[in-house]
Amino acid sequence: MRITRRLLASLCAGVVLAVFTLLLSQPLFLFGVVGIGVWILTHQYQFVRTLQQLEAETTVSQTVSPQRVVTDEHTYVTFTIECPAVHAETIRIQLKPPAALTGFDSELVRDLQSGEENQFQFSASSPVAGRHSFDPPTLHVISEAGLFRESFDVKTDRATIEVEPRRPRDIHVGEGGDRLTIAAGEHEASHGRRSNEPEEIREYQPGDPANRIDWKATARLDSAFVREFEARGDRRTTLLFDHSTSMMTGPEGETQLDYAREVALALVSYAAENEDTIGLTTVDENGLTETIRAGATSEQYRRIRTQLQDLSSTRTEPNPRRDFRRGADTNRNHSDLLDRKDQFSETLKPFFEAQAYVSTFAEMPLFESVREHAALQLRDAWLVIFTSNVRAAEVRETVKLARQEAGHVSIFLTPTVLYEHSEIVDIEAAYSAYTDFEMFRRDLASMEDVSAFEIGPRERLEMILQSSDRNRGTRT
Amino acid sequence: MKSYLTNVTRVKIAAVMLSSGAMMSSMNLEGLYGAILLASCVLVLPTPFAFAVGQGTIVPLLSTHPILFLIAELGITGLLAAPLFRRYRTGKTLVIASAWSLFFGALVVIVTWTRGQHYTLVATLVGFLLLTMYGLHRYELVQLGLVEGEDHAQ
Repeated sequence: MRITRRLLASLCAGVVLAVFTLLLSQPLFLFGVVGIGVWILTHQYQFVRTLQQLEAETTVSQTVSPQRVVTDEHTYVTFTIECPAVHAETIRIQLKPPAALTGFDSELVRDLQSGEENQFQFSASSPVAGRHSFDPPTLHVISEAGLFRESFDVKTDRATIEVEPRRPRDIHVGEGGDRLTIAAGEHEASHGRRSNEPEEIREYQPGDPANRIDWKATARLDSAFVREFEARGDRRTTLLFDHSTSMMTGPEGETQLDYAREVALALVSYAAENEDTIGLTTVDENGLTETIRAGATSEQYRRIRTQLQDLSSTRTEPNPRRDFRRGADTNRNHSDLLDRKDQFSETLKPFFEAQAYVSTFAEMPLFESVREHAALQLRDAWLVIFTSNVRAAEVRETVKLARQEAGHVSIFLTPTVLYEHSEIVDIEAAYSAYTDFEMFRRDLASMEDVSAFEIGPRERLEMILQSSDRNRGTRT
Repeated sequence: MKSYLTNVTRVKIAAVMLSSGAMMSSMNLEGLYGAILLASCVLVLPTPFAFAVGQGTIVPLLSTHPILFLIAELGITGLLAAPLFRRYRTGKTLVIASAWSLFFGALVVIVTWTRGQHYTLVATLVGFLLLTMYGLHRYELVQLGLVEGEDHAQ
């Protein structure tokens, strides 16, 4: 219990009367001292009873809705305080939200009406992921006549809010809205290095090594049998990951790049489980940014995972050291040739005109990366491309080039329409854009040895498809 | 304003009338000045200060007139007591206030009657008051569990 200035002043008044008693030798002044003393004690005693009643009967309810949010997403915090009817000059409550929550006043102090239910609501968000708890609020009470004040914490259940980092959720990988299902397991090959997994036993043939004789089966069947081991193939996979600005559509932490990254990491994990050889090449607008040669060691897998996790969108400033724009030189040569009229120029002109189509795509980083790797790493390999549908022509030509060299091409596309805005404003336009994407994807999938898939947030895709189904149903 | 006039000013007016009337009944000029001073302070100053000024006026003027002194004291004491009676209608607070009043009043009477020194009287009274205040303070800390190592008394 803390004293106030009013109490000090009242005590001084009593002291003055006591001094008068001594100075004037008049004990009757002491009745005044007694009167002031009893008045103060009565207020103090009543204040103690008020505090006891407040401590026992005040209820504070802290609710958070929604309780689970992502970083920087708003949630609503409601404080409901029921205060008993007491004698007090002022009753204030100081609310204590977690330090990580923003959107509150610096000092969250509110006056309460005694005998009534008081409710306060705030909108808050947190830039920090984690579990945040509310501390018990503090009640500040000033007695009647303002002689005493006290503060104490109110016992209440601590509300919590779970803030999750922004990351891709419910990733859809599929074809035309249908989810892709893959039976995970070991893959076989008819040739390749042998493994240690016994597959079957067969009768001994001359020339079989003696250490492969299955002696138990031989004793049981009274004839020599050998163990045949399952041949496991070593699939070579090359990931080609586009992290240009065309992959940055969407809210932070849930962009096309983030979704594609999750699928790529899943493929790396799958390769690691099966001890497959895997390599990574990343490209942006300027061209090649990183190459990790194919390998099957744990260090290799770790490097690839780290590189994928460190990927972010790059800017569009040209980098002369990584400039694949041979097209500039080609154009210069081309224009020189066009100006000349000699036999040499006439012979070479058709050749340059034919190359113009190729040189246009030679400026494209994705196309150029495949061409760079074709001779070295793609032979009989499984090429997996991650990109968006923004540069459709380049993607198409890249896939055409890749399937000429690689054993199989799988392309995972992130349709921009699924990432554009947090809420779909024009559902018809969105469905139209998705339809265009789906036609493009089918066009790619129709090529031999090419599989084309879509990656996106499932909820958004279902919203587009269901809305279009409703509209078609309404029209019919 | 209306409720203020109804609840507070009514008490103050009654106190002023009783005390000032007693002072003016002494039939001298000092009594008149005292009544005017008392009335002004009661209506202007907060309660404890008005009470202290009233005491400072009543005692020198009416100490030789016991009946008038008692009437004036009744008025000025009502200034302190009436709000307490109005607010704290539960008997417990009033009983305790009355008990304290009797105790400290008896203390004053006893020391005076035994011809004790005024210093002793003042020191005893002030000491008991401060001790009682401190005791209530500690009791409150224990009740609210604000003292480390203390059990929370139920």
